[in-house]
Amino acid sequence: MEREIISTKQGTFMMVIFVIGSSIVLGSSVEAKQDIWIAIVVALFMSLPMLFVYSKLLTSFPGKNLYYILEEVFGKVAGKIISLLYVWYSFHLGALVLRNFSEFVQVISLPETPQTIIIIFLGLVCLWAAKAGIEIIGRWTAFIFPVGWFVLLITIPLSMSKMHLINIKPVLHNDLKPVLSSAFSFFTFPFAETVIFTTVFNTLRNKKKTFKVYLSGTVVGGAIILLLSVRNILVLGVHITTDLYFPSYMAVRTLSIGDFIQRTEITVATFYTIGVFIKASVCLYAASKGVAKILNIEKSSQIVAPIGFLMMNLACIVYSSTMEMFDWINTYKYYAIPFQIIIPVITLIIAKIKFYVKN
Amino acid sequence: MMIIIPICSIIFLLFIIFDLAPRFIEKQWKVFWFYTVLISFSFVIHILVVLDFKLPSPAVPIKRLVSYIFGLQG
Repeated sequence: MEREIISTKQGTFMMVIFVIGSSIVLGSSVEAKQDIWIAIVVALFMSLPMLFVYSKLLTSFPGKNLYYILEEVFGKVAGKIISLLYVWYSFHLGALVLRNFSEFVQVISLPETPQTIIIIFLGLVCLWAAKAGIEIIGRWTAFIFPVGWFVLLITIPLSMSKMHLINIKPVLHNDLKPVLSSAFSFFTFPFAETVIFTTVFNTLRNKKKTFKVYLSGTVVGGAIILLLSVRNILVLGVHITTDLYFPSYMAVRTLSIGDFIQRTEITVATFYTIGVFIKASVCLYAASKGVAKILNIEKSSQIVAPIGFLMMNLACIVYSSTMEMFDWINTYKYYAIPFQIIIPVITLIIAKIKFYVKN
Repeated sequence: MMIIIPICSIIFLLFIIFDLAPRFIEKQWKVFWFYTVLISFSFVIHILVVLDFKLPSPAVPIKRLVSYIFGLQG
């Protein structure tokens, strides 16, 4: 196993950026309409038990990542098969993130540029980061995060003059069902996607703080998503927000203070680029780690490049249109259940039974 | 669109020279063959994508499977 160590701070920042990564621009679910803030809060509470499961898995097997844990719990053959499922999940998620970004760039600013070019160039940067290792990604995140979140959140007070409180009323007018459905969407995308970090957080310096990192990363990320979603609803209103593909970008676009603070939507685009870069890099790193474990390859960095190129291929062919991409979000919340809930819970239960029997 | 083909070729070539060749020199055969197969496959796919071939997306069968398992409509 390669020796890499990341600090608690780097781990937390990485998780915050991972959580807000693509959801900052895409949004997750529009079913809850003006009650989106309730849906996000419910989703955060829903994700707490899963965060506990993920961190418990890691602390039960100190220094080992999910792929090692699966082999230890399920045995060599079954462990490798389940590991393969997680390799696919990380790989697929990374490709989806790259595609989300290329769609965003094409729709917003470069309609004539082929998406292949956008995917290749962002993919190459992610490939470089994943090849350099999680330590480098962690250090880079710790460097960029303090600037990034400030730039992102400063747009909220600046858009105060455009906000209309009436847009968020009436509360729970459309019954509880759409709110719960929306909450489940937010749970699977992005909060429980942090399951990917079970393949990474064996590198945390202080293993005892795994749950703290998981909790603080998800809560801070969730709070930022909450603030931005409420900002979008207050500025644009429910109908425009639900009709738009990229509401955050449009909400900030309306911002104009005097003659000098204008065109601030670039802040959203910049932070989105950072988020996508981190998320896709972590996914690629996780997929490479898994393949290396399955094939008994000592250094996962040696196989990052071909997996990265395949990820770019998948990103190019995964959707045929922007509409299909947004339609996929409805399927994704069910598709992710085995990876985010079923397998981790079963693994933890079997691991605990094995410990109990052994002692 | 055709300009992408030389760009892709150069990128792949650089990776072959600087990332794959050392595996051959160091006689890491498992990594070398894994790398060679995957990079050749992705190069072919890239070219097909650039030439506007309609390649099947895994999203469609996944969507069908998920709809079948969870009884979703549409």
